[in-house]
Amino acid sequence: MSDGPFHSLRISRRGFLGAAALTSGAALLGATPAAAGSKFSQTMAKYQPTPKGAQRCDGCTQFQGPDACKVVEGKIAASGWCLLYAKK
Amino acid sequence: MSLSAILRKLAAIAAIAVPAVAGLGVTNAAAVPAFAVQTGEPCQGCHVGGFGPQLTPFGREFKLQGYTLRSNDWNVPLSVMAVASYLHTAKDQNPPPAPFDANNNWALDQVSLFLATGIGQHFGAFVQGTYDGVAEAWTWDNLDLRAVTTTKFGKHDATLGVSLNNNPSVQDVWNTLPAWGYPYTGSALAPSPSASPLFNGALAQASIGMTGYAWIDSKLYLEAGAYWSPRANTLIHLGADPTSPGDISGASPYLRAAWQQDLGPGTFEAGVFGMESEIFPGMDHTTGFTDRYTDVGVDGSYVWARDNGDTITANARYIHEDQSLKATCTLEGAPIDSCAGNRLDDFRIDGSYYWRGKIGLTAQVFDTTGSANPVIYAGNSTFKPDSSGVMLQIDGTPWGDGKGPLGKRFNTRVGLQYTAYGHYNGARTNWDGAGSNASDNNTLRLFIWSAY
Repeated sequence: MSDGPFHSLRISRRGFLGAAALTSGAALLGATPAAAGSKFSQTMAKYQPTPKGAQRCDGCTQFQGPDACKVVEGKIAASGWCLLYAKK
Repeated sequence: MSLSAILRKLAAIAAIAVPAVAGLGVTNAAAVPAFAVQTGEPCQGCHVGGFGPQLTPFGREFKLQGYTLRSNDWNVPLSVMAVASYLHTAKDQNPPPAPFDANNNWALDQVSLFLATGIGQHFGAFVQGTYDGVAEAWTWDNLDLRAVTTTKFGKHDATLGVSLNNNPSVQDVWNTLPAWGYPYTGSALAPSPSASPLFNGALAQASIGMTGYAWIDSKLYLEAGAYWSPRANTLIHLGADPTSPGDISGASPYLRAAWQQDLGPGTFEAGVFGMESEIFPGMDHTTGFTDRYTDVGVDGSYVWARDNGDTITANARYIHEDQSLKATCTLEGAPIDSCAGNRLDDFRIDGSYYWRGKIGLTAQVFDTTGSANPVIYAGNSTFKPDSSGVMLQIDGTPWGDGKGPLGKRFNTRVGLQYTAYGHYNGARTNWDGAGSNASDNNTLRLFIWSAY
């Protein structure tokens, strides 16, 4: 047939999917769940404790006063800002 | 007629047509208000211009985190979307796109249903089923099931994920690769150049793949995986044609790497990607050969959300494809030595300006060139695959901020697209040997696109 650079890849679909499922399962069990899931870490959200122009956390639909957020972890300043800013 | 007889008949057609029509008629429309309810964000939180699928940096992060971000306990994880349009071409299409007229057609392009949800902290699903209003048939559409976790490598934060999907690059978060690249909505009724790299959508809904990725410090993206052909019966039951482009021999490896960082006032990304597929065209195994497509490419993007609510974006990609079409050439009775080796180079770049997230203007330049081949491009007078042109779009999205009269879930976009061809299927003039010019295919499309 042909002889491309990846040609030797002849893994069965079932074999690969099984291996992938095992690998991902092991990763899910073994890794330390830092901040995966329902809230973003402040790093992911690019949170900053200062406003961006007129955009401030206390003007955002996600802000839960006095110092929390529905979708970003940790203590949140009313004068802060992040990527998820959505005006009230 | 038996299934095998149908497959044989389709294979005979596909063996001739498939190499030339890869990517034809692909549309990538998707808009999922169920995610807006889940995250508590308006559409414009995740999407540039307040409507899918061009992602903001937050939208990219949401997808990479497996769609798991949630601001509520639960919501109905379903959405519905419809696209309808009016299409005018500079000259009547010949033959007409039956059962439609030769020109000036109104059509319901598609109606899609979505299951879109994060499940707990580690799983997410994006499942799209579509009624194709032109073909008048239901089919499975984009699928992206994810499992994710976060961990640390020394001082580096990393998200590790697995995506089970059915369209190479549908799992990607930048709008540079084919699955979510501009134009973000299209019509199957529009004339479309016949040659395109296989990577440009030919395996969409015709393959199933699993890839694993690592997203490190929200900057470095590494991904590897492979795609296979589902069984023909499975694809038929899902509304897909198993003979287009054919069945993959073994597995098709997929590799992707990208770097993203803040640059100036916006976010910059540059990446590379590659895939190799060996395909029995039209599921025909009789020649003992396959057609091999080796695609490698580079891409780059920039998005700048201005403080005044305007957004500027740019997306570019270049793909080089080497083809070894031994199977097709053998089926055509052409000598392999002179027929099988071909190349395609595909470049496209688009830029957009969205005013206040409501009014958008986008321009794209596209250019496909390749080696001449009198067998593969027999219908082109120059035997070349070359096509080039520009595509312009102006659109309005009044309720991308989630403050529309029907609530956060309802969103709509109205737009006008114009495509002008410099070259079409190998030539500027008389591309088909029957006097047709590239500009005859210039297309004006008015569309309305709504989601709930």
